[in-house]
Amino acid sequence: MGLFGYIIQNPGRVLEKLYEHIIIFGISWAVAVLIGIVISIMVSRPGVKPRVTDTVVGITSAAQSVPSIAVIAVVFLFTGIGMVPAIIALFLYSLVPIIFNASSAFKTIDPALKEAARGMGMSSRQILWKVEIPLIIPQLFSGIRTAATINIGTTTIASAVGAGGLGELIFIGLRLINTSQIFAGAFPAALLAIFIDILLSRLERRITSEGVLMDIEKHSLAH
Amino acid sequence: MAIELIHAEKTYGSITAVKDLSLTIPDNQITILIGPSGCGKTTTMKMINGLIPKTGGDIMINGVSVDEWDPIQLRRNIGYIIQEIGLFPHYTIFDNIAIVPRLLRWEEKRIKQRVLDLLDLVNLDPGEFTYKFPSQLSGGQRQRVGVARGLASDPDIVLMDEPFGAIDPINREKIQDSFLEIQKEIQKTIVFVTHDIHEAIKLGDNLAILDEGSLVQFDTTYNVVNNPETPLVEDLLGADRAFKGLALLRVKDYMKNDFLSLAKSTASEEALKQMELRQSKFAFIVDGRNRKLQGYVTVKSLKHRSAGSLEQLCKPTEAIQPFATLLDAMTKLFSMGLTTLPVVDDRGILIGVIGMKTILKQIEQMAVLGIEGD
Repeated sequence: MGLFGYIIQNPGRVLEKLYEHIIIFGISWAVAVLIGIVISIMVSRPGVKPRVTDTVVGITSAAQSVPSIAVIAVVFLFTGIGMVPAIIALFLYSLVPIIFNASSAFKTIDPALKEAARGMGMSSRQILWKVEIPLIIPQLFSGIRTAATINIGTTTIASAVGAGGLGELIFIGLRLINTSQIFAGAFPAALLAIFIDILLSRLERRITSEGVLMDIEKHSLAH
Repeated sequence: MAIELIHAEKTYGSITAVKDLSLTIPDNQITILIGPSGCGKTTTMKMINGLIPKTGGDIMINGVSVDEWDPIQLRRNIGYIIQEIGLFPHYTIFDNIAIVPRLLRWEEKRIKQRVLDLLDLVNLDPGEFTYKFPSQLSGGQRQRVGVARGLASDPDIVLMDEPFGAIDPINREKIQDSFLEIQKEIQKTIVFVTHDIHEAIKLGDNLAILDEGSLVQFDTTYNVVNNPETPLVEDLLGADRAFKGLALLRVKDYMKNDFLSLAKSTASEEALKQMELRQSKFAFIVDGRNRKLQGYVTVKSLKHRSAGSLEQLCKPTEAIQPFATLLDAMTKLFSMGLTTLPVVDDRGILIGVIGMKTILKQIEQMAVLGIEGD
């Protein structure tokens, strides 16, 4: 039986697991993107003490090195098995790179730019949407893309707490030493990760200002 | 008066940044705020558009206290020009200049016309620059965009916070000259912060000198240079202030028109005759039709070769513009080894001459005034 044997024989089951996988990843990641951006914006507002921002950046930076399985295990202890605990764990885990990248990017915006904007009569909201967010798009996306890739990979582990998804095929395959079944879980997961990353990189290129790209290029040449 | 500070004060806890500052900024002129670092010049400027809220006294803008202005509306009505770093890197030059007009919801058609006019005003070719991004421009060009952006909504008042501080000395001179020409045209009420006394003397109609948050002296630039009231002001001006004084005198106010100019088509015998009649050792050659300066001829060279047209004998010469300072003129005269420098306007038309004698006389007068009491 070839590598694709399991997929060819059980297309329905593979699709079902892929579907579960997309649901777990999609929900946990999308909510993390939304909430991650909101938190990053909140901690970077002018009224917030720099110490608060630094703390958030510090915590998220440290949290990036926590193994995903540990997060899942801890959430599992509190919420039991199933899809919901998996989504909660993955949501928490995806938050980290998004908040880390976005809030450190907000911090690096030249204060002179924001003051110029204020001096010309822009409101705080206008400064956020017209100056700050367009400028942090590259770093913001780097966080969002990292979160997506990690999340798709980690979702396979989430099967360990009974969440379903492609991980289930992998774990059962491992127990049965069935290469083709392992492959039926791993291959679609890898494809999904690559596909989502390409999609996001296209989107990023589309919404990044040409001027920001030139600026980045110029700075990287200067250093 | 457009801007009036009345016992204005700014304290941060127990630290006083600006104390009891009363100052009426003259309309349609450039007023410089200058002083040692930490003197409160930037704080004072930022209190005018509310970027830094005052903690005492009052500041009136067009007769209305800043407390009564909506700060956002106030800032949209006051031009704000800072160092070129303040340009938005993600906006094209067009979009950068259009920021305030768009905040004011001008029609897009009107904005477009305004942006093109402004690029023209700051000497940037609209065809070349409109759709470029700031990172594609040189520092000097970016600063010109910064000036255009600050003037975009045609505000009566413009605040300038060390705008030319980051530019190399040669380009700084150029942009200062351009800026003076622009100001002659637009006549805004400008408050300009700098720590560079040369820049202050060159650009300022008035100087306000601050120290430790208080106003030390406020007067016309001429009066400050000639009558520094305190040792601090004297120090700021430096020992060579007689020379610095030259930087506040414009060529246009001292140039003479007792010069001989001849059309380039004039026959050389005729030219020689006229020069002898005027007892002039040289004459400037201009284009007969548009009066543009071509160069000069000397009696000596004409006597050597009396035949031929003036055009062949004409030697090129440096010239100076009317808004340059006497200091610029003197430097040019020295470096060229000339005694007289032709003055030409923007289009290259000969409008006068400035001589070393005139300049030396001014130095003498200033030295007398300056040394007095030393």
